[in-house]
Amino acid sequence: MMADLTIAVSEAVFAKTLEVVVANFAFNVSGKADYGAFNVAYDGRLFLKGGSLDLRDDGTIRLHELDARWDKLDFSLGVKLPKLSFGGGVVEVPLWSILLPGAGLFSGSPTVTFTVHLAALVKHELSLIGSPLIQHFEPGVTPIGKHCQDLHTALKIDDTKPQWRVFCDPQTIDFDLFDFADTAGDLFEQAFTVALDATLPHGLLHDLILAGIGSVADLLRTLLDIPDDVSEWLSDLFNVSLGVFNLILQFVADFFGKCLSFYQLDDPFPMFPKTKEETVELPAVTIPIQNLTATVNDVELVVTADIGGVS
Amino acid sequence: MSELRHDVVINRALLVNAALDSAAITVRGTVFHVFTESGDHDVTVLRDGRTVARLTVTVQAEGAPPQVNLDLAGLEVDADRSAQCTCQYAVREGGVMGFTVGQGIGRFAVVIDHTAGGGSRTVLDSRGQLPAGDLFAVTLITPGTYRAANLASQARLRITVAMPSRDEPYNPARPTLVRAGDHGFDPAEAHILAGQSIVLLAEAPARFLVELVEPAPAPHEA
Repeated sequence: MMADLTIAVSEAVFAKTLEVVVANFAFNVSGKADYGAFNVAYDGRLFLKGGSLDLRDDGTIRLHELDARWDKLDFSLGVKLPKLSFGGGVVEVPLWSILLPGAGLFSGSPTVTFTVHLAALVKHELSLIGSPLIQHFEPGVTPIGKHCQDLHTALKIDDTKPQWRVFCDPQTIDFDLFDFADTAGDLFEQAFTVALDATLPHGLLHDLILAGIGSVADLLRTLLDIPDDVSEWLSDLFNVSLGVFNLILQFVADFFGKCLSFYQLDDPFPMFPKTKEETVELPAVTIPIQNLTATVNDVELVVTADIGGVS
Repeated sequence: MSELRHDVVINRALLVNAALDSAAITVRGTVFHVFTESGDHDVTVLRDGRTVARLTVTVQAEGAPPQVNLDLAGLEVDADRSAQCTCQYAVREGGVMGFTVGQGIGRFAVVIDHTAGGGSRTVLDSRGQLPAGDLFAVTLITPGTYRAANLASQARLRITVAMPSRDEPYNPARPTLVRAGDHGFDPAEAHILAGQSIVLLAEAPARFLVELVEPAPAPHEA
């Protein structure tokens, strides 16, 4: 049976939508974690650049080569300095042994926190393949986040009306892992080592501390339990331990699957507006929309629907 | 590119080269008292001549640790906070209490009275002489030549403090014991690395004074 209503949305409309999306996409992410000997915190804002969108014969939509960049990506590392003391040890005297308390170098349990701005040192690329997904939007009932509201304003999507909305439900998301170049790891380690070194007392005590620990770089690597490659350690921290990578994937999935509507159809659909002929006022004519389908071919998105009883 | 924040407070008292006197317990000079008699002991802690805390030490044959170390500076802070010190300690008979100062420039002393049968007898007044069996441990940071003197016997000990060499492992927690008897110090000379401790054992009543006689020349002068 033929559908009552057929609407085609061209690839050009999608491309225009993507431009608005790219201009309005922003993902703010922050978090912190304590690993005992050290703690970390991060605060970032991800944005998109470029990219293109294809409608494909296999019924999918492909977004590809979107550059994901960080406006800011501040990474703070707090190292709790170990207890360093002079003197101490055990001395054997006749009949017993005595434990000497060491003279502590620091008061309390000092922490050195170093923040590096990593935004310029990490880049990602985002691609995804999705299928059209139809959802009914009910104002006040369907949850909608602040970021979505802002995006909808930019896209002129009216969140006050019940609507059918067509999303691109991601089937696969390809987002580059955090991958810090070796130079970034080296720079980070060097900068933190210098910073840590600067907090230690200078002169004689500094020489004695180094005699005890080897070097500040050794101390840092021991405290952080860093293997050979600092850049790999940083990448693992972001991708796995802190889970920032998964947070981004989840955000992207929600953004495209639940927030960004490529097409919306008012339900009920206004056939004729309210009119007034001489002294007679004619009410608006609206019709409920039912049985929506959305299919994609390499030229357009086709939405079909049945028109219900006239109200 | 980056920012640094820290709350590192260095214990500057480590760098002060004032003479270390068993009569004035400081950050680098610790007195150890051996409790030879069981029963209660009243301990009075003084800072610069003023009483800052009183505590009781019960010495018992069993069921108490063989050693308790007490940070007198910390004790003073606790007493300030609670307005009264409810300090009660137990030490095994023949055990040791170490009176140490963790931070600051305070000079402390302790007076220990053994209370028994309604009377009391002073077994230690660190402002005077340490009784036989007690110890005075000093941590020496600045390289150079030091002189330790037992003011009770006028015996003297030369201590050489050297910077650790980069070629050998360095551990500051390696104390060296020196006995101080009626006939002087044994050994007659001591050598340690900077940051390590000399422990002076009073085999007869003693008062110890350790002072830097001549600092080692700075590396670029050597």
